[in-house]
Amino acid sequence: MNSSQPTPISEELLSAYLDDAVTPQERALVEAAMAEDAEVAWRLETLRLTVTLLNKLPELQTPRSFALTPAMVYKSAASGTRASNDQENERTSVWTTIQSFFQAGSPLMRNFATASFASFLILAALGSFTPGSSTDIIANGRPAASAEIAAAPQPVEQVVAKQSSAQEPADAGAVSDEAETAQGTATFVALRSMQEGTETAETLLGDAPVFTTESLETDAAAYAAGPAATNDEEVLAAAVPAAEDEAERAQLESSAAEPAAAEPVVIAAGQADSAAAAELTAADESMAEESTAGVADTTAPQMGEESSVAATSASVAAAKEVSVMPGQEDSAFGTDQSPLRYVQIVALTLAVLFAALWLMSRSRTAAS
Amino acid sequence: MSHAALNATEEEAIIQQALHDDINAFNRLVETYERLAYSVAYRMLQNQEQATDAVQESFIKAFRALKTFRGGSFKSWLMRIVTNTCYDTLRARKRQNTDNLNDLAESDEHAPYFIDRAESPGEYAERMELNRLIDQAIATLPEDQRIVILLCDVHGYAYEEICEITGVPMGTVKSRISRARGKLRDYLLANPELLPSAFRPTA
Repeated sequence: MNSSQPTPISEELLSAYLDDAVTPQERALVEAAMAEDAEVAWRLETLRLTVTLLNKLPELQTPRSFALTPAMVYKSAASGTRASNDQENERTSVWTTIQSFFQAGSPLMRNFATASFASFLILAALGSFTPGSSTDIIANGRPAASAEIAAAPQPVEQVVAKQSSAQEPADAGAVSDEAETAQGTATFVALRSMQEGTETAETLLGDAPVFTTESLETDAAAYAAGPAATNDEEVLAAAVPAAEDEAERAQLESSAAEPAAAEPVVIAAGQADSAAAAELTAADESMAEESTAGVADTTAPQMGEESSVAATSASVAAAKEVSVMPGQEDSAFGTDQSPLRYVQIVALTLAVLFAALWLMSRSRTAAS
Repeated sequence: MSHAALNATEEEAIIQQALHDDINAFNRLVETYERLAYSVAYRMLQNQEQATDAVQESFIKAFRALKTFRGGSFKSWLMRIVTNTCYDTLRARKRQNTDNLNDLAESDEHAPYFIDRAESPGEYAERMELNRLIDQAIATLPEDQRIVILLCDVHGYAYEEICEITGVPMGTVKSRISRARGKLRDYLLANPELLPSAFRPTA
């Protein structure tokens, strides 16, 4: 109608004029326009009447009292309110949407896909709960056990090679340096294994360094104890003649008290490292004393040779000990469970295939 | 009409009592503002049941959030809660896709709540018809324009209070008010039989 005709006086300016929310210049402009143009005057008047009618609209009487009661206020929510009902309805509609999605398409393909996927899940669960699986390893608090086991035979050979090469210079210090270097590597491996405890056995196996904590602990204990040193008492007995000082003996006793050499796999890596390091230090000092005294120029190479033999046997024993413990299998996909793995792959493939067929049938239904 | 208005001192004293979990004290505030709240909610939502629920929920929210009230106008603070609750209800209704403007035809339902005094039955009937026409016109407005026109022209809030209640800038409020007024005027002009003669164009 008339209000749609273009005029220099905008509706917003007229509205603000009615509310007395204009500057003096704007007021003068509106009043001048009203005086000159009846259309502007009519627009302003009808707008004023509209506002007047709105102002006359009465307040509504409430259908009931809204006074609060303790039950309303202290309930977890206003359960009777519309908003909560709306939320419930919304949840219901989401569930209905999901249902309608799965009800479309070929029910046969959908059911086959579901059954295949369920089979895959069951097989995967069976594999996961097989004793010695990665889940089991983590539960036992030895996250990198399988990686260490897989790497166990390797350090036996390499330590032997290193210690054999140490015999030739007949230098006990060189042998101990080698052993310490190996021990440091083992410490690093143990720490890293603890940090990456949640990684799968396969991952750790791929990154497995040359040395493991257990084999090197055993090597170190055997090296420190000399020939035929197989337990704590023998280690102490072998070290005592070299360490004549009572303080050194006390230190060795305290070091030997550590259970590192006795149970290399079960003890914590940090304890094993400290015990092995202490024993290495003691052995190193004892051999140095003997060399200085000129008593046993040939003792050191003998010790190195015998230590390497002992270390080899101890490492093999440790590897054997570990090899029979639970946790040998890497996972459900380990080589000793290959049939299970293939069945899982087949189930998963069938699930994907049937799901694709079901989705195709679903899209065909939607198109039709 | 509405419950006796509280002066600022009384209102402040009641608020202090209500802050100590005195529900009876808070109910005095409820009695004072429930009609205002219901009128805004009903005209926003155009549905009695939803408006009732929204107002009740608003008072519960207000009581629980009273510790966050930092002084100033309690009425504006309360109306902000009512407005936000109405917006929540409108959003939920849109999600459910059950918006039904036919609820507006509940004139028989809400007509008894219109109050007036000393008027003849004929005048009352005319007034009721006119009020229904105006309510229908308000219902045609977009929600953002509807709330500002209700607060400004129906309930007499100043621009600044509307800014505080709705949380939008002053310029936006002015713009929405002017557009809403223009639309309402056009709607009423399209239904002139109940309007005063001044509404008829002079040209």
